[in-house]
Amino acid sequence: MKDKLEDFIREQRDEFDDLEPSEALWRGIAGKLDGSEIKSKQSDRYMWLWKVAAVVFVCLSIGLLSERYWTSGVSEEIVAVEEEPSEDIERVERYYSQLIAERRAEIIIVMKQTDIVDDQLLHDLDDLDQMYQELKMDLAQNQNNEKVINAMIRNLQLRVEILNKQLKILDQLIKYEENEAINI
Amino acid sequence: MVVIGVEFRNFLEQVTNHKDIHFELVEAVRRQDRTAQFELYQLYAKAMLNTSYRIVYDQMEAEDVVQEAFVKAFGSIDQFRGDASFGSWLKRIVINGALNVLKRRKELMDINDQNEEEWIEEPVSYDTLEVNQVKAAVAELPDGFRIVFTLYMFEGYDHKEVASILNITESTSKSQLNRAKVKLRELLKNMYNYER
Repeated sequence: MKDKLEDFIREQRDEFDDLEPSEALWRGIAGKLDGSEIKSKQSDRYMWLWKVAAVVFVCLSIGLLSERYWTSGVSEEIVAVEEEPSEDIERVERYYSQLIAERRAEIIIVMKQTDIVDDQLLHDLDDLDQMYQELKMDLAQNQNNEKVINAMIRNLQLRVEILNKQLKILDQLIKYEENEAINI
Repeated sequence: MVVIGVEFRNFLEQVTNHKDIHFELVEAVRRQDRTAQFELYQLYAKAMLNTSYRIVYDQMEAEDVVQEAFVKAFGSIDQFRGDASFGSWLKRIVINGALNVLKRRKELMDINDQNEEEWIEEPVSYDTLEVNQVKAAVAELPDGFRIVFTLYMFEGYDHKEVASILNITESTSKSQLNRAKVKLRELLKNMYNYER
């Protein structure tokens, strides 16, 4: 149904668009695009994190192990004071292993839900696990050496930390995707 | 000869592909090319801001909607299949975003739920009508009327499209538009004495 009002608006259509976008508008868009690019590259980002964590761990282990040879006198004294360290380490190991298994299971569930499969992470965790087994063998050969025990504990803690961080990142990713879904 | 043939074919493709005049730009945006993004922004920002404003009637919120829409469009450019032009795809994102703002404000009354009132059409002369007066009168329309009116008159959607955007029936869209027009005439009459 054509009428004069409609004709008037159609003829003057361009006149009705009189608002000009502010300077800040593009800056806001560019800023958000930068932010989302970082988010989309997040998988790369934590891949990098695991590599750093693995390197730090290797250095730490080597440092602690070599220190053990240089200051063996001191460590012997400490070992002498320790009561039943192998029993302690078993308790610690049980505690952390359980924690690690729980976190790992959570992450695998989340990964399955979100279709984000980070093979690198699982691989790095396996590497850490292998290093731990080596340390354990080392401990069996060098009875109750505190440095080895510390390295082992640090290994366990590191894995828990990594898994916690990974869970947080995945949570953020999921939240981000949920927001996207709501907006669309 | 072969080279000319290829060039000619490319030229023909470009000429016959009216689907999107900014095809090259869109392709660059698919590669997340920031310059191309900025060019598309410059082409569409103003129109999108005005479209957004006509729905939310608040400049800050209108800009937020446009910002979100561009970020979403550039971010999910993979979902743009080129069935329509980039501009109309973007516009739908803007309109959906603006309508969401209204929903959040809980101002959008149920369009199907408005009471039937008989409007008496008044003869109005538009000879001296001005753009600003029409804008002021449109702003006074109730949201339900205004949005149907705006989508149809300013954004150029037909009733079928308006119906799908607002999730109402085509006949509701038609009757809302007619009522909006009647109401608008009345407003113009009261505000500017357009009865001659």
